[in-house]
Amino acid sequence: MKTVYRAHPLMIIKLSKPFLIVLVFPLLRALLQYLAKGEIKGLVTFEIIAILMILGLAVARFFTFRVYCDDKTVTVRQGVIFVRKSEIEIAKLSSVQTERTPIDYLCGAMTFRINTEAGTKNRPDFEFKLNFSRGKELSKQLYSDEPVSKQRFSAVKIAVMAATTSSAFTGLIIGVPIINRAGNLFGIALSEMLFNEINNVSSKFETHFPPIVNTITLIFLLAYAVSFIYSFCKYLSFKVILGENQLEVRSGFFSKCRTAFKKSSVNNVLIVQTPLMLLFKRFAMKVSVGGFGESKSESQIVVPSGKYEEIKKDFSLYFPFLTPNGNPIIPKRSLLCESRFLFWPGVCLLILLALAIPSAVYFANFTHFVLFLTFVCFALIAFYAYISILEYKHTSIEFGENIFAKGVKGFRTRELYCPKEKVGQIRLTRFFTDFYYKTCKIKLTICSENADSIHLRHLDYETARRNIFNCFGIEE
Amino acid sequence: MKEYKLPHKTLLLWRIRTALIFCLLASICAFYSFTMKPFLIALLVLSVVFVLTIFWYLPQLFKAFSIKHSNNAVIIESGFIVKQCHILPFSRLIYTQSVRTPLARLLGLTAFTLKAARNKLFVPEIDATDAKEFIEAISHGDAL
Repeated sequence: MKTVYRAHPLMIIKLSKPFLIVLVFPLLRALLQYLAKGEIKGLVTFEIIAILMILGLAVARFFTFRVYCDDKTVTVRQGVIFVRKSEIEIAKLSSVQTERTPIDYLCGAMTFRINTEAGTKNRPDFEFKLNFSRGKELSKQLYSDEPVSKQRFSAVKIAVMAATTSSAFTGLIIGVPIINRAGNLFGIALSEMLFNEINNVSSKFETHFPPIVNTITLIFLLAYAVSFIYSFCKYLSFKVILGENQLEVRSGFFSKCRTAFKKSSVNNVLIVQTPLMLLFKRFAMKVSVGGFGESKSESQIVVPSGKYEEIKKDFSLYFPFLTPNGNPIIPKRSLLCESRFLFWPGVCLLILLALAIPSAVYFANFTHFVLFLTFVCFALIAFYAYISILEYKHTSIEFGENIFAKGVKGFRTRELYCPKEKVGQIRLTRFFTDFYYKTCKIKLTICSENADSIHLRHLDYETARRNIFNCFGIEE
Repeated sequence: MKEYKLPHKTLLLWRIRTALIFCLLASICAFYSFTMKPFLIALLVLSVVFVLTIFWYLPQLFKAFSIKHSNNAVIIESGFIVKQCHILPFSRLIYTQSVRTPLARLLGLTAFTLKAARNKLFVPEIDATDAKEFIEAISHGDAL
């Protein structure tokens, strides 16, 4: 039997919002004109009619919006003049996401998102507002799996995760638009005030380096703090519920978000370690799900921060592909091979020296500043070299029924696990040096749009080729 | 293998749509042709294109269109100048979306789109009952 779900009245705002924005500004201008001169030259009347039409259409679309759901399919019917009816088999859904913002709380509503592997990029396939109770009912109807286990993460673990994954760059991306918008809203130059304050505070510190260094350091620290707070609030009350066939992740402080997806939609699992996590000896686990999120294939954090053994122990039963079963291929254990891994850090160091020494001589007045920049770059190169050695020691790939690959991307170490059938492409690349040393680079990509991939270097070409051919039953 | 052809009503519907667009463009050209001569030439060209579209291109295009569904795939053949054949295996089909415009509703027709990961196939208006039967067959796996 089909259950019918109607939209929540908040949906009217959502349906009319894209058009209202265009109409509000001329309307305000006309109103101001009326207040100043006491007359309106027909504009407002036209605008009001247009707004009423848009609202009327939104109301009509709200009343005709329906979601039908039975055991097998979910049908979304939308539109008044152009009626669109989408029938989706429940088995083909990749994820269902519900969100409750503070406004939703006040109105007793929830935002419901249905995702599949098809649909448009950068937005969910279907997004609508439902009554909270009805939304829960629909969610249960679509994903009614009984939980096998629940995992909560303490605030300390979330804080560790936030601290180790936050970056000043993310903080700047989040913070700058907020400051600009707040400044525009209150009509004050908030960004300039803040910058003056930072200058004022940084000038009070007396260091060996010029004041600009203090200012930049302070900006970076503040940006890092913003990123930390954002990340902490986003993942506070983080909970993972493992069902027999589905996985559910709940998170959020101000805006509660719940994402449920089928276990079969999971393409791969990534165990990641950021540079800061390296210090704490902690790892994060992400699952990559096809047909979900902005790029139609997105990673969802499942373990924000945990010990490696704990993660493997907790999830190896749930995701059987976390246990690799092939022969490991690793780089040859020799000094020559190790030095090949250190080639790029060496090149970077040479470039740094080639730039730093002439700069220090040529810009004699800025020696301290050049010294500071050289020191920072040197620290980064040293860390890059350390990561390269780690890459040499840990690079490994196994081709079996379950595929395992471990490598480094940027400054993060990554372990990728996936079942054989989820592999999209394996690319072997060879350069001049690889011909000489009989090695190759392997790029493993998962079979989904914007999917995860992993690069591995300096692996024996013949062994890799043979293992791939054996794994996928390809005849040479 | 079941085959569906586009009904005559679809041709009528697309002729009406083309005529409406032509009327709009022709009236703009006609309005400006009084003051600017090139618009008169544009109006003449437009009229020729319209006549060719209505009486030659659309009938040939719809005649060449066929939708089949076998046990494991939907096969859509289209085009008469450039012939195309799309084969969509059921395993890659994610969902179907039907669209009904007021004109199509009057004529009892429904168009639909077959959505697959990274791809979609548009099927012009077919009889509403046929469309329903087709969607149900591929959505509920009766065709499998």
